[in-house]
Amino acid sequence: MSSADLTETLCIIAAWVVTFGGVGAYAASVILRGRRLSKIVPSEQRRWM
Amino acid sequence: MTATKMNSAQSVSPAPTGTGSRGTRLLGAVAVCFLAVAVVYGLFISPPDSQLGNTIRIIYMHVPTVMAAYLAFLTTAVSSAMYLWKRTEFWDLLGSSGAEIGVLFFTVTIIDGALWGKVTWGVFWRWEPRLTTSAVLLIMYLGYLAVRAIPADPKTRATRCAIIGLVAVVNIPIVHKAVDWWRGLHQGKTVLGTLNPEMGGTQLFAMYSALTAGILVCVWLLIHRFRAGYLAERASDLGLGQALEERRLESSSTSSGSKVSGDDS
Repeated sequence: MSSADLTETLCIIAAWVVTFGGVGAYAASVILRGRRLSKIVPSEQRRWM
Repeated sequence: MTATKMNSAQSVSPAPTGTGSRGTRLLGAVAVCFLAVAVVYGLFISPPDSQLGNTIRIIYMHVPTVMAAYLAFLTTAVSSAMYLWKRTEFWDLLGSSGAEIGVLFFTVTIIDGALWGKVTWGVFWRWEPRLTTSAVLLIMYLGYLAVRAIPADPKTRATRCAIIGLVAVVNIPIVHKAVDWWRGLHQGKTVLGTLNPEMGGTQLFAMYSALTAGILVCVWLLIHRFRAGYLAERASDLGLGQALEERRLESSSTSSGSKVSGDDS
């Protein structure tokens, strides 16, 4: 495998890891934040549609 | 009477323990299905492009993330306009949720683009029209989030953010049309905005699967982020209420204490 091919493969893997990792980490942080806040807020104030 | 009470208690479903609901779970499941199809087709089934080679696999992530970012930023713009008209917490929270998610997706877009640039152009970044206008757009929405983080009266903060949300959105058509208006390195429209897409077959299928997944994930995140923001506001109200109650009790006990000491003297 040439240096150019290696760079190409690494960049493709990095792009997919950054996309899934970044969005996944943010989604997890939002979900965990919601669960933490739900323990504080009274049940009558957290009714979703 | 007791039976009636029990029946009414049974008919009320328990309050959710987070920001999820049946609707978001369904939406999330559909998004995961599209993501799985995008991964299989984008990484394994779709052939290399005749011009871009295997770097087309980066484009399968680059285009959906930018479309998700535009959707989130447009949500912020509409919410900003609605906030300035209606002045309700709903539109303020939706606007800030859109800005945060838009910044996330747009940052990912720029990183993916830089990785594609490294393979195709040999450098991660060039100050060419599309990239420069994209950097300006990202900085404007980072400014929105910075203004939101400044401690201020909630209504004043919401008004400031709504104005920024309306000003920043003007940059989106400039970023989108930069490849047509100015000569640059960035390639022109490949799929969206053209009646004759350069892709076809499994490449187009992979792109549309990833695009649908990106939009669904964006909407799913918007709902969860909005609800988390709403819960944060309620928790803040609760904390403020408790602090006021404690202060009131403290002052009443102090005044009754001073009355007692006054009686003693």
